Amino acid sequence: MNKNAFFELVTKVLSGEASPAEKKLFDSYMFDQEYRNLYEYVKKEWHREIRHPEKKFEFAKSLEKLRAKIKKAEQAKENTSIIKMPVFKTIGYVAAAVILLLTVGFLGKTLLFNENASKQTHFLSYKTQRGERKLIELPDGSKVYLNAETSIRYPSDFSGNVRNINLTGEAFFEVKREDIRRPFSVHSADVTTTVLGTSFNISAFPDKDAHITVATGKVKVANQLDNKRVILTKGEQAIYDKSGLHKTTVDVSAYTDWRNGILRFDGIPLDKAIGQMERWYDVTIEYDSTLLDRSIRGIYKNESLRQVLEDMQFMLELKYEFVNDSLIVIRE
Amino acid sequence: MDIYSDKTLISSIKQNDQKALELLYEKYFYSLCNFAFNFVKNAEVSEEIVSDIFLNIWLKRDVLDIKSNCKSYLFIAVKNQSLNHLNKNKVKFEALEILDKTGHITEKSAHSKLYYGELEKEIEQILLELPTQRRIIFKLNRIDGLKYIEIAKILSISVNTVQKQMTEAVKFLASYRPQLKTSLTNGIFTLFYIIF
Repeated sequence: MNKNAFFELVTKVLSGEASPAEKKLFDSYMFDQEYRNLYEYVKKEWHREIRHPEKKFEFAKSLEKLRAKIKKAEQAKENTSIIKMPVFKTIGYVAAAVILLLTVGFLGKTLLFNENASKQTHFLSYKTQRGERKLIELPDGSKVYLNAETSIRYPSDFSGNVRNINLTGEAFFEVKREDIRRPFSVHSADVTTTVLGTSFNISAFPDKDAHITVATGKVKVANQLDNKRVILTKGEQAIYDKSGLHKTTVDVSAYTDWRNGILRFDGIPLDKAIGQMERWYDVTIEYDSTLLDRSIRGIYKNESLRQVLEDMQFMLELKYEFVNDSLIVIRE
Repeated sequence: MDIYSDKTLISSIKQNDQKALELLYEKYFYSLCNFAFNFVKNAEVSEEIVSDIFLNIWLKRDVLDIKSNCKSYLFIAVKNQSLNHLNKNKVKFEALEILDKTGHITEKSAHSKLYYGELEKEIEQILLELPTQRRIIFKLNRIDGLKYIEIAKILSISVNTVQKQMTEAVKFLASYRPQLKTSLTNGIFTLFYIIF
């Protein structure tokens, strides 16, 4: 038996991977004093206590963080009672308004039976479907353009001294400046964006980095987990990712063109572009992870999905295939 | 601490028991953080990745469908999130590239063995001399108790590679056997030569 084969056998025995036949073979070697000595030495080494270098990590602190995250996420979830209404997409604004009114009634009624509910505040929610974009006017006259697959929740009237909105997804806000200077706060992911009167874009989809981009005026963005905050002015952007909150300068139109029906890829990684396309055209696009390192550039105004794919095929030398109307596969 | 099986904990989590989630978190916290650290090389980011995975488990508990065993599931999730993180930050994980190369005892480790001589070295120190990939595999098996097939799945490599890397790691441990200290470069082969 060569040394390699013997060590392979020893390794399998020690790590509990040896088959009955291998164990038998191993046992036969143990009659030999030299093999046994070698095995005994390796076994001793194997069983030496190995500890993870645990000092680096703090469980108690991390558990607190996890609890805070859960609490926050659950509050956000409660705040976005989702109304699905794909049928009304075509019927349009009037129908949507009717639904919203019905929702007010429904929520109001629910709240009356809920003793824990605070006062008489009614909340309105709206969720756009994939492929849908929508303009909503808030009680204070501010306008919100919702991009696809986005949900928003806001009070039926801003009676207090703050204007609080909850958002998941992407929206462009045109906030009306008020004489009484009530701050307007948008809560999304772990960040709160506070303004007085200005226009800005928030993109905060679940499991993605959040971007807050300012078109006009001044905005304050705060990370609620560590209380870090940044102030943004026109042309500036805050990015919220795993490592926290950062500030950068961007071409604002790249982040706000969507509300004019423009799909824009500004040299972004392919997976991001595909995420955008999926929401924009209400399709599912599958792709090889080998394509992840490619980036794409392009501007499409009211363009068909097929045209965008044709372009990608040409530019990135990919192949695409419609499996059916709503499923596309992209390959190298 | 391990009085609850993963299966029990998962089914409790599905019944909205947050305490069960926390117990599962405690059970795997250090293992997963250490695993993440291999990739992201930053303790804070490692903790963040691991806690995000548990947050996600909690939020998706209604639809949670852990097909393989829970442990593999967690390690796979940590690997994916870690690589995502690197990808996002445009860092390449170099260890994955040397995956199927079978390395030999390097000059450096041979030298350090000479240097340390007969002193008994901390096992952690010894393990640090292994190539990254081999160390990850060895620890997943020896410390975290994962089977070869589970490790293969987690790291997207073949069981055969896991087997080879484990054997190399064990050989390396054996190379510290005191009788060996005179002839290191020939390694194990010399050992046999001495014995016979």
